[in-house]
Amino acid sequence: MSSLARRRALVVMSLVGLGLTGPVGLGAAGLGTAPARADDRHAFYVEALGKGGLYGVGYDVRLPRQLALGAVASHYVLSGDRFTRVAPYLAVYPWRPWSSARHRWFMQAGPQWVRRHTPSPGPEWPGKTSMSLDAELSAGYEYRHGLLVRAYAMASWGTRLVPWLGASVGWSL
Amino acid sequence: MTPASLVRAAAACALVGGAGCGIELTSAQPWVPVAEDDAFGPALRAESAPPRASAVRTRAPAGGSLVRVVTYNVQYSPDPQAIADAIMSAPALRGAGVFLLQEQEAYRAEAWSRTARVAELLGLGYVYVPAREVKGGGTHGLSILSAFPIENVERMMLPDAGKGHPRIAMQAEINLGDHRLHVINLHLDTKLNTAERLAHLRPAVLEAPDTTLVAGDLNTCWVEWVAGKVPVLSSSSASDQALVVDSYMRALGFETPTANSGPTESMFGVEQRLDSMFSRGLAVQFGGVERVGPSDHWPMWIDVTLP
Repeated sequence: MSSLARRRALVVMSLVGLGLTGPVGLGAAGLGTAPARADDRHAFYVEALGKGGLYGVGYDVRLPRQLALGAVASHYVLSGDRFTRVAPYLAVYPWRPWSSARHRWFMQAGPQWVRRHTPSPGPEWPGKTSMSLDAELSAGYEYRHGLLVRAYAMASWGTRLVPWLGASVGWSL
Repeated sequence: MTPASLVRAAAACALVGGAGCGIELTSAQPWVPVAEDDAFGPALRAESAPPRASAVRTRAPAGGSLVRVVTYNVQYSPDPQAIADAIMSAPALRGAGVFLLQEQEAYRAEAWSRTARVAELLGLGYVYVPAREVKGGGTHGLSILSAFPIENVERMMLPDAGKGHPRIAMQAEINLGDHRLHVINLHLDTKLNTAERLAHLRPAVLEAPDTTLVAGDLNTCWVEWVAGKVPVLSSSSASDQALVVDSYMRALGFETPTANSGPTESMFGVEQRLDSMFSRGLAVQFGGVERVGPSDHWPMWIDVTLP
């Protein structure tokens, strides 16, 4: 594993660690102690921008201790270039901005796998497929009560650090 | 394009399969000698001047076959003096024999074309080849500055993706006395994804002579463009267009001496490798990227030894 990859893995692990310890460290004050509804554990959504690049479809499930585990995936073609992304993540809900359990702040962290295939313009070259593994950290607002809405800012770290935005709409069951 | 049509185009291109959103570029025109390029019209007529005799003496290839070549996007060069000062401020650039410049402009209201002014300040000969007219009675194009005679200059209108301005490539032979260096100077469109960028580049390099130096601003950015309008930012090396263009050029037998040059451009604090140099049939030594000058790009140079 290269030095860069080790540093990236360390950051992801640290973020995950933050997610695991965050709710405990914050104590009970201000925590959403229960989902909005007892059957709101599963979220299905589509994203604009965000962890999937241009767009994504995602799923996550709430775990105990204000955690959630999920993933976003996307595949799209832009002017012949084919992009595929898979971004699993661990989410933590460290506090609620208001008393209602429907509104929450969240943080998500995880790796992002990216594959791009560029086709050849002619017979002189076979085309090229490139892959990379990056790290992502996002933080934002969530509304969850049957309807799921998220808006967030994120940072993606691969060969460089890039700020980005995302918004999700879906439903929770 | 209206917001509604933009959204429709983005959605159509982004969906799985992306049918109908592949490489749709108009055909390239053939190489046309600039002395005969009436097809481009009088407004896009090329201009040139020979180098001073002193320039040839002071920049003569060491050992008879070594010449330093610089590529530099001068970002319209509104102040030619600043461009010349930048070049003279960097010892590595000061003695270069050939400069391939992009984004040069010329205006009828100005006494000199900006290329002519930079060339005059450096004591070099030049050829300026416009690609298009711009507002204010001007033109925008490519130029070559050289301490040696520039011969057989030709221009090619590159395939148009319809996502920016008309783009050209220019090729010429630099007469080094016993040797001739064939160069191709390029400035590719900005808002292209990699497959389109290769289709845009291909006609200029596919049938290049066996001994050729290709250089310019290839605009190999890290952005994924949606319908040529909306940028999707990416931190992923898989989104780096420069790596794919390098791969394509290697398949054509070119070396990629600037593949590890690092960034050549900085905008809004984001640095990217937008400029590249490729050689075939030549012994080349990468020099460096000099972080000087008023442009958003930095000049990059290599040393070329002719066979």
